[in-house]
Amino acid sequence: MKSDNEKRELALFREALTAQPEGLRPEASCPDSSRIWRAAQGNASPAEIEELTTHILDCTICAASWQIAVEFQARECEEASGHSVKAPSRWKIFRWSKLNGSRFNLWSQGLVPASIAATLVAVVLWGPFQAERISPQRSAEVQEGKASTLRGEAAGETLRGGEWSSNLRSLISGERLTRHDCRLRWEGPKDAVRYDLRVYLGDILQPPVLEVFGLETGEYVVPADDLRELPAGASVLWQVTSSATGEVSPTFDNAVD
Amino acid sequence: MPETKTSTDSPEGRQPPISFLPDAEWDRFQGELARAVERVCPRWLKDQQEDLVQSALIRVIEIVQRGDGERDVASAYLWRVAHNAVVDEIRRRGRWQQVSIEDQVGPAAPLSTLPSPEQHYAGQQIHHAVRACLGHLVPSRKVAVTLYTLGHRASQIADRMDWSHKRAKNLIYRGLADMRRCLTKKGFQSDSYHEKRQ
Repeated sequence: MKSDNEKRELALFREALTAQPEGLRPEASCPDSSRIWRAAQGNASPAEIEELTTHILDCTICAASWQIAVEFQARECEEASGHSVKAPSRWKIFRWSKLNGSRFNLWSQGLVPASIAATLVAVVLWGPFQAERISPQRSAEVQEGKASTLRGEAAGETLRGGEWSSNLRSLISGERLTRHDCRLRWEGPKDAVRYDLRVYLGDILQPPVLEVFGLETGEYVVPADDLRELPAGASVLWQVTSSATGEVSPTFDNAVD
Repeated sequence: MPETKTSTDSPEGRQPPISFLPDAEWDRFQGELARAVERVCPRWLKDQQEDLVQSALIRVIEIVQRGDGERDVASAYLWRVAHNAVVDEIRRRGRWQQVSIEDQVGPAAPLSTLPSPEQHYAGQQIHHAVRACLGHLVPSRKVAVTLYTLGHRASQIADRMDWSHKRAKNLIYRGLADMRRCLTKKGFQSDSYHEKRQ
């Protein structure tokens, strides 16, 4: 979860990109708005995104256009998920299928149990260690005025273990789940009207196998298809973010038979 | 199921403005659009925000009607059209703004909210510095920080740039650290960015 300082710092950077009047350009030199939409949506090559990024740094209007695209796509995503309570097929779900292949070749090679155990141990140990390793340096920088407390999104997404105070808690702590009814349940603060959910298979340091945005209830059934590479007895790791407050839960884990 | 307006009573045989969407959905879309624009509207257009939303809604209606008529409009399509409409409108207004661009806040802003000349100058200085520092980042960090600043998550950046999630997070983290160092060198202390501007 970003601190107020972090939010203010990001807001300042954003404003710098979008509020400089001298950055205004004639329309002809700007990329088409559809192109910006596609790029923001992820339907552009990395080279094209890099090219657009360079343009954005000189162009207030295109920076604003990109930001609007991100905002609108998030709204659309929420809207789709709002309907999805009745029609689950319209949930906006991001699957990381292109990564599944390489990651889960290991499963088929029999390295699974050892790697899961090692990874989970590493994650539990790594979280507090990482926090401890970063904090003194950063706090010194903050005290010297060289840095704010901005740590980027990384902290909210990966820290696990150690001291964690969260209003988001699992309602299935310690339960074993089945892959055909892998029902994740949680509860959050009263003002958390929507949640984002990330699900990882065995390794939280890898990208999530799926992300679901804008859930309106504290419950989600992970499709069995997304768990097909997970060996019996291995853990599904999951994390919930409150859309209203941006609060990120600890990483919960449940064994799946 | 919300009621849907019909198009048969239009004098020119065209659909009435919101016939492509049930009333409730259209109302909800209008509200969502207004909130979304409010959230990301550039500061120099804040005073024209409502006009912007209205213009965009009209454009959405025109574009959708010109397109596929009475078909069921998916919300994804609607948002894409709305984006194009808002951006076109911003571009159009941006060209006008160039004529009298010195007034960033606009005439509708209350006097109490207008920055003093010193504050205005300080704000511009920070903006310049941020953009200069962003421009000097290593290319991969520049892309990562720019996309992060514009609202993308690390996972989305990784997906768009064909990076691993871990790499995207590292690039953001290191890029932001570079930004802070660069801004410090330029005389801006990160904890006082805002104090300088207020």
